Amino acid sequence: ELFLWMNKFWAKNSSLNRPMSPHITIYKWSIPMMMSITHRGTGIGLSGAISAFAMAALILPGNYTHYLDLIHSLSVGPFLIGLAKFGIAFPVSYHTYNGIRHLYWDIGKGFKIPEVYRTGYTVIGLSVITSIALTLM
Amino acid sequence: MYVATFASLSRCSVLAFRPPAGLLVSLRYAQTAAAAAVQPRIKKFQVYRWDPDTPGDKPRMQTYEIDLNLCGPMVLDALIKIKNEMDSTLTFRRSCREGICGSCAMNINGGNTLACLDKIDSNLSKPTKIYPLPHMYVVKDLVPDMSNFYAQYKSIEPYLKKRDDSKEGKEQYLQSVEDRQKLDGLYECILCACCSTSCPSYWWNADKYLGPAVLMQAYRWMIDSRDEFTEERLSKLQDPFSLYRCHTIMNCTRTCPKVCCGSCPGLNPGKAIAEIKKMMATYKEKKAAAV
Repeated sequence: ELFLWMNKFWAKNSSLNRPMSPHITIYKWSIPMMMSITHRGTGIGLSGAISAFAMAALILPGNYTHYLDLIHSLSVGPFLIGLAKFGIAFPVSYHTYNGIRHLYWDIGKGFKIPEVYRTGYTVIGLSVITSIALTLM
Repeated sequence: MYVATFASLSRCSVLAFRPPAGLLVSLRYAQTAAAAAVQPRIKKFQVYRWDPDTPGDKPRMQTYEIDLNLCGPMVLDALIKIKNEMDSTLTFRRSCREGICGSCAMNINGGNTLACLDKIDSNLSKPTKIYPLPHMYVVKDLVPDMSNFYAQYKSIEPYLKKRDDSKEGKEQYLQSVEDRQKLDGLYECILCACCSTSCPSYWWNADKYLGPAVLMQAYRWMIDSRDEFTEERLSKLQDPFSLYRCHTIMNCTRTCPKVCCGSCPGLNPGKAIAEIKKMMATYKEKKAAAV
């Protein structure tokens, strides 16, 4: 009966043409908020990239060395190669370290706001350092 | 006899001297400026307005200017001043003016707080932006429709439940000091809805996700040693939405306005939800379903 009541709430409010108060356009952004959406974004990106790579490996003719030679022959400068490497390394590093932060939350630790910031900055720092290291390898 | 002078920054001084007779005499003199005129400190307030009684009205921002020298320190003081002296049509909820009733919850400068506890920023170059609580249907101006929030609270049965009701009202139900301490940080919630309306998950799923405020109260009853329906309370959350839309974004804890002084940082619904999730992993599902 509570369920029926709630349905009436939605019907009433939309029939009265009441506006919805602004949210994403007015809410103040914060580091934890940005880190959360970045975790989601890198997750979607990594998932999509792995699926795309798997599909490509399945469908495209020719083997791995053929495509490696193709990329070499494009004579892309070292800076752009580095950028591409960083572009892959950063999502992997960030999502992994923030994933560990999520596991830490799952056991119930680190929920005080100063701790959220401290672990957050640690994840950002480790991700940047790891990504740069992987790029330079 | 000795003389002591104390001068303070407010340009008035106290001269105290003790004559041999032993009486302490003190004179107070104040420096008066020629035309004692204090510069007005004008602060701009940009407030969200919408009138349901004006057909075709669109939500808009209206700017009001207030001299902070003639206004109390909190945002609620400014809103009341605007309503009393400048625009009586400005509509908002308020009651206790001391952070205990939860009526004046709104979004001020991008964060959800209680207007009665939020000090006006004295930086005159920036306006104070006031919006209603985010992603809620607007009844008028800064007043949101809270009925869905209250219905969700009702759905978690926020009252003591015993297996045997026969002893109700006869004696106190005893509780150890340690068990009572578990309720600290949970019972103080005033259901202002600042946390729930700060949660992006609640924005996108307000119909099915209960939100941090209601979930923290569910936890409050789960860990109350006098309540005997913990497992049933847990099994009620066993679906993809009621509890599990929480992704630990942590806007809730960050925005809670129940800050009594410098040492208490506000309540922590994020932690309460994490504790519920832990309990959900270990409670005896089958036993609760059999009831």
